[in-house]
Amino acid sequence: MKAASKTAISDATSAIYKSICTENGLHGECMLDPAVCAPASLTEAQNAIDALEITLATLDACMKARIVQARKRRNDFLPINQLPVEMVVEIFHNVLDSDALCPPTNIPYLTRLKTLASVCSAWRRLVSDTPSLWAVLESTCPPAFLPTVIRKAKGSPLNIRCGPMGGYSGIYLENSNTFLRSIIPLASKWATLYLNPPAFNQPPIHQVLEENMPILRKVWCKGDGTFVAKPFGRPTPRLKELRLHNMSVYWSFVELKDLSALVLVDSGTPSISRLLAILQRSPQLELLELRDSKADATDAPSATPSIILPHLKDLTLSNINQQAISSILRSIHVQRFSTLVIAPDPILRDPDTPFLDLNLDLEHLVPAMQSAITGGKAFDLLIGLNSLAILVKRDTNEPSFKFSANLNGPPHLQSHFLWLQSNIDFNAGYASGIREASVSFGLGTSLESSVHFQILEWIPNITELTTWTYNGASELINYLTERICHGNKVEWRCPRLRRVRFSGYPTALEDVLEFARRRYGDRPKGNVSEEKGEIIIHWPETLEYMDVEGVEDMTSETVEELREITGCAEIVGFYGDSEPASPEEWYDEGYDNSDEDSLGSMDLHDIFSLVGQ
Amino acid sequence: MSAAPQVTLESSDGEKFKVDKEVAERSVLIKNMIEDVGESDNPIPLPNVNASVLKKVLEYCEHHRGDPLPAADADPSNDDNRKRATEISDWDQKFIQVDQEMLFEIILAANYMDIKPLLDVGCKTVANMIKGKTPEEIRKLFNIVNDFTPEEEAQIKKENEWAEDR
Repeated sequence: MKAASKTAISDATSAIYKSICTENGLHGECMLDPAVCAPASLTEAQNAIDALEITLATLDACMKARIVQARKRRNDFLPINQLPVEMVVEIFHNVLDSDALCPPTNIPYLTRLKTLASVCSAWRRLVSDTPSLWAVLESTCPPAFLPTVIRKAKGSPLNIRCGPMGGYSGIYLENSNTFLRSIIPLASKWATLYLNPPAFNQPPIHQVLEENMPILRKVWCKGDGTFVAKPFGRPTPRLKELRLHNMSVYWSFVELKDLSALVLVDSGTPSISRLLAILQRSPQLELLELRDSKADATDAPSATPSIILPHLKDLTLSNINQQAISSILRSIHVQRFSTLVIAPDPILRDPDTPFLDLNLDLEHLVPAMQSAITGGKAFDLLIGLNSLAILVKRDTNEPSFKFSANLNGPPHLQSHFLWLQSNIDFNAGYASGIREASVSFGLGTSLESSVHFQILEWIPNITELTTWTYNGASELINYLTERICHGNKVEWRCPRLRRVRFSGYPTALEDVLEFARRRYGDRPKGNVSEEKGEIIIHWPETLEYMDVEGVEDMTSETVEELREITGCAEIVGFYGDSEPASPEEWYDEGYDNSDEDSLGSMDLHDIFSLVGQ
Repeated sequence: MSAAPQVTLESSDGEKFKVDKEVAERSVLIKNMIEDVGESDNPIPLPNVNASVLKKVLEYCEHHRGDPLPAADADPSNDDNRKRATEISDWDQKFIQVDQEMLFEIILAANYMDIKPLLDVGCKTVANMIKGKTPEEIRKLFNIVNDFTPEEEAQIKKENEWAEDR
């Protein structure tokens, strides 16, 4: 250590020592006291020792306090403690998931809160002084602690979580009743309510749902299927999220103007007329989910109301009767879907056909679906039931999404989905808008009908196209080779197509050659645009990859011809002239094993003997 | 086609950034400044944000330029206006993979510039770093030292015993 540093530390130590001595009325010079240096008697010596020990203890305590102070000051300089208090509180809320509509977790909320409070004194102070962090009441909280927690929460809106942790037990049952009795008087402060009681028909639970809950925002409640709850008899004007499972409800309320999520699973839904009334008064609705419910559609209004739900993104109508689905679909107007699941009650069958009697009214929702697809925002679209399904999957957080469809329903069902393709796989390159798309027509797709190409019109920038289909490759090729005129511009469909797979067998060689000639035959090298007089030709992009696995009668000459016409560097899927041209020929040739020595049904012992020889 | 209108932002260390107005207006602070001052060629000063942080913030704004803006009249005291779910999109996760100093600088800048979605991403990221850790692990993560007094230590120990008894 340098001499200067040593001197500085020594000076600082002396200064601290002196200041501590002054603060505590100690005499820093006591060590030089003659009584200490040269005691005159045993008593004097002992007194000196006692005085020194007291001084030392005081100094030690003071120094430790100084160290704690210095550490606190040091912590104050850390980046996380430089954040404004409200931001650290927000981070803590995120750590604790304090407003989540969820059951008590394995690590009780208070334990997690205590973890934060045990990091440093600043965090401890913050936790202690922030009522909103205490505003979570779990049924797992020991009854003795509840009053303290409620006191610490002060007037903050409360989040109630009543449910089992690690299975039901007698202890839980007893605790939950005690818990509910403790919190019922606070109903006016409930903000969120999670109720998953072990036996629903217990008096405290009845009482809970019938309380006056003026600031309640979110509810998740599970019943035993028999109990008819009469919740929200009094206005719950701020209710935003209502999720009911396996319980019937007395649907008297319609004051749900702020409702953004309504989920009813295995529950008695309101009659269609009442449900539509609720939807009509819930313009903020973003999510509607009805599953496994018996919606009474007998009172469905004959005149379809027009319900505009500008924020609705997620709609699931699953395993409820078709009349109810139709009434809802006919009535609502939606701008864009993120999730759409339509899966009617499978019980009804069309008596004249082997198909399910699906007769939905989806036509007017087509623009919303189209918008969802073209805008690149749809991530889950399911229409049908089990094998009858059209599925669009997309996670906007992912760089790509999956679009697949499997629709093999009766003709009248297909007529509802003319706009959409069956057996399509679709991947898009970017989260916002589709910049590079890959489309694949699956095995069962019938491409004959031109309406099936509608989906391609909706997806800009298709760069990759695959067809596995048996039927309709000719139509697809026609579609891709047709020249389109816009004013004085001539262009081709899917102009950015760079990779193509003709994998469905048999695809006619002549069709593929036509595809090459008409799309790429006269294409000049380099420039994509070409002016011919007043006409501007926008040529498709250069083909980079072509798979001809499903093309019949391919030979090395035709591969070469395709390469020459298209300029495509990579043509794959042709396995040489010696290979049988088609699977049928391969089977026709049969399997000749005449040149093998058959061991027939020879006994294993005999085989070993034979090998031994 | 006319070019998108642009504005110039000036960081605390004097660096100027020319960006589309639409991108800059992801910041409510800048949006309000533009509305108050009107169209101007003068750079908008951001004295609390240095160039390296501003560059990152603008990268975020550029990526999210088309996203719907949070409601301007949203009541900040209303919990529903805050999405507390700790999921962060892939892009945002990659974006926020920065050292701690930069992370906190971004949070402060997002707060100052009033870019709520970015502030949320920052807070959630810090929250995810803390989740599931013991106090000692959290201290280590943020370089915090134990600054409790012996009395506080005793109290914490007592609380721990309560937690362990449960």
